[in-house]
Amino acid sequence: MSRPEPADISQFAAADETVSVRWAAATDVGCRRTVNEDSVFASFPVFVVADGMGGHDAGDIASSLAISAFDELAGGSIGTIAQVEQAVASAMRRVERSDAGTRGGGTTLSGACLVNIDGVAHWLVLNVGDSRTYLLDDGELEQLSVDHSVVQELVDAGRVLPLDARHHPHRNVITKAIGGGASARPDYWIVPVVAGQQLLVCSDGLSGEVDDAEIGRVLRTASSPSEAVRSLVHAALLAGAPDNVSAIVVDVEAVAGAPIGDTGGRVQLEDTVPSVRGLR
Amino acid sequence: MIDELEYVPGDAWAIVTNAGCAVFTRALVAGEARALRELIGDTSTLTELVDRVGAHPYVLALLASDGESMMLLRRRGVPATTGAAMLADAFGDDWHADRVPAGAAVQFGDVTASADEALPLTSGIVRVRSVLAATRAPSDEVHDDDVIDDRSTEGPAPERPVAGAHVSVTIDRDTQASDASEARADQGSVPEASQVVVPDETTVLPAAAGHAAVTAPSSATPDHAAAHDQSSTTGEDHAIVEHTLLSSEAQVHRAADVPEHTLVDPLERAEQPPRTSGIIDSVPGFVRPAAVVNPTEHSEPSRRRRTPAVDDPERAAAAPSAAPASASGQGSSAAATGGWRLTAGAAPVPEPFAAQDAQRDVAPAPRDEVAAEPTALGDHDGFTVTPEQARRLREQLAAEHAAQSSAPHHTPSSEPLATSATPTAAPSGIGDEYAPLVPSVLCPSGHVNPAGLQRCRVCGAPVDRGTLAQRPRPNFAALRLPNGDVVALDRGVVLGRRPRAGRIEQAPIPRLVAVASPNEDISRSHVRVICEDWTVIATDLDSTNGTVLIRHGVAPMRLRANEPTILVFGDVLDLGDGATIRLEPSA
Repeated sequence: MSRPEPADISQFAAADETVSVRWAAATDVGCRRTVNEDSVFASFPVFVVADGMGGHDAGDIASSLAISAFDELAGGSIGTIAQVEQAVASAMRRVERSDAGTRGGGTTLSGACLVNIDGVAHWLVLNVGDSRTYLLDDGELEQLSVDHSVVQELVDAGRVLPLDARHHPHRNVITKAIGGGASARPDYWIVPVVAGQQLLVCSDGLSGEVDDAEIGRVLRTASSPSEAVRSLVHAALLAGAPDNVSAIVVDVEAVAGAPIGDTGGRVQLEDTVPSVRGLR
Repeated sequence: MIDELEYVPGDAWAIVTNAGCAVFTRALVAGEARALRELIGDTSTLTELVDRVGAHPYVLALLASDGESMMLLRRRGVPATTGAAMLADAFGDDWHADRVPAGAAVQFGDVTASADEALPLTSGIVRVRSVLAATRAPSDEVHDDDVIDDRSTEGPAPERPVAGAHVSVTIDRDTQASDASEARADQGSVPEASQVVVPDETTVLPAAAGHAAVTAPSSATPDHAAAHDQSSTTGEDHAIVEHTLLSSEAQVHRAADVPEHTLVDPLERAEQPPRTSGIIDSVPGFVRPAAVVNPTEHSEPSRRRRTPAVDDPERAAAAPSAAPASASGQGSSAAATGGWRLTAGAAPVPEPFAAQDAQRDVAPAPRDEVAAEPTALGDHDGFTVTPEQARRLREQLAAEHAAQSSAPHHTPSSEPLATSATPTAAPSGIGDEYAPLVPSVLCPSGHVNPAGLQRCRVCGAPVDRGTLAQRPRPNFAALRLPNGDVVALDRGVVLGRRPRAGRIEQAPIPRLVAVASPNEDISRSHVRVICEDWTVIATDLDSTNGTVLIRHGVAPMRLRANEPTILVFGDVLDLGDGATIRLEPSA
């Protein structure tokens, strides 16, 4: 079954005193589902995806409630860690207390919020479930989030090769979620924002059909976030997209005030100058 | 006087009454909107409008008459234009006020919506995408096109065309500050960051308890006489609302640099967000929920907002049954207290305080991996996990721990962060304090001390052992940085040239502290220092050049990568490049 190209993907831009970004986002029901249970929230400074589960009337509502908790953060300057923590707590409460939540509906939640740490913009990355947040930094694609899935645990335990993870029969079983009977708090990461970085947030409908190598290639070669989103969603649809597909791509254009530690220049993952130090 | 009001249909809510127009995000339901309209009631001034609904979590814009002109309050990025030019950005949670003088018009929300699509609006509740408003010129002449450049108008009203002047309003700390800003603003000079930046002629609004104060110096223009009567001299306090410093600093006080009657140049900004969406997405963006939902969480206290003015009984009845937190809630609270057992009698003295309590020679041998917090899911094989089973496993674990009289350890739970962390304004931008429960005793002055201590760590007085109990851990330790700054250890700290925090699972999100390293000897994420109960632990994060521990009376020792080491007060961590970090007690 072939699907039409995703419709025009709008691109947005926003900035405050600390950082300036462009982004685009899209979501598609995929080739086999009839309902899109993914919810997407891509509005400065919040970029998150929630993949609902528990069936119609539970999953879609759960994911919508989860992202609604971020309404308060959007439209302002970049946030603070405390605000994000509170939004997450609110998301959990909203889902748990809802009708959908009591019926066992749940959702993943993955993405990043721009936060201000000592005047410098940082990504506060969060993840619960098997949606993913990647960072392309200096040409290298890194999956920042860690899947909370049965397959990930098997990979960690060495019982399944990472190569085979995408095809494992249990790849859709997640071990943590918001709602779903027992909410779990997300994992967090904090990463400094650097000009030229690209952040990708996606549901497993994308990462399950398009491998990391292809994702990296698209992000490196696309000329704009909307083109990157279009290409990624298209690739997932071409691959048959059995699940809903959602993607957000954020392009960092400029960052103000690097931390005092940095001496400038492109940042490598580890570029400390080794030196011989005797004990004093 | 608002003479013409029109709207373009959409999803946001506009409530129009005699007072003016209040616009809310689409998150409202009909019942709430009706209740809000009743709440606004027969108010007739902007002041009252702000008073009634200015603090509602979903309000985006307020438009009201102010004498012959209009005042438009916006926030959360709602765009607006006079037709001739865009008004300045109104990002953030604080209100941005613009005066639209007599004879001018303004459109806010989706400013790309054409006036041709606009429908008349008099009073009631409509769903909107954009609102257009115009006032007739005092002399019945319409000066729309000349508005911006017309400086010669002495005119009937001493109003200058300040439609574009961006007024950034923030919370007033106290009335004295307000007076100070009055004096300064009159001279047109740059006020302090947290003060109001205002040209003349902005209404002074009283701050009711718990509401944001939209304050301004009062100028003696006749049409503000009415507003003045309601000024802060009525005796109401300027409420000190819990705004984080970030919010006030984030209000870019560009207007400070702008002569009061000049339009702020929108191109001043580094990036012009494309105005592609309207009020509902007040900042350009892609927000697509899978289903239309109405969050029931209106009454939760938010970090810098006051409780909403609306209490909608209809909603409470109609809302999806707010089932009390299911068994999962009970499960986690059991976990919160289950693993803990207070041991009466002599408890060991926590390491940092060892030197205080007795002279001990502690060899800083690296310890074995500090007992990790028990895995929430227990010892499963990864195959059979449903969230239900996970929950049961967790409860089972908690019960097992409670049954053992093992050494006290901190059971992971999602509760401490949610319940003990109260939002406060923290200059660092990190926010609330993280305070797990720890066994403690009090001295006669009430200082909280570790359970094993004999003498108070703060004042030296003998502690009262009868006060042994669990309490939120106070901030008892800090790191002194090379530049003299002191960083609290409540949440843990990661130090490095450009630190990042790796996967943070159950632990609190640490503070990131950048340390200067001209020779790049220090790794980007070099060392982490955290508190576990009353113990301070340092872990070298596999840094390139290592971390050296310098302790009094002991030979300097390099920490082994990724191995936690317990510290005592006075210990110094040498990161290289002259960066030495000292562990100090805090009161």
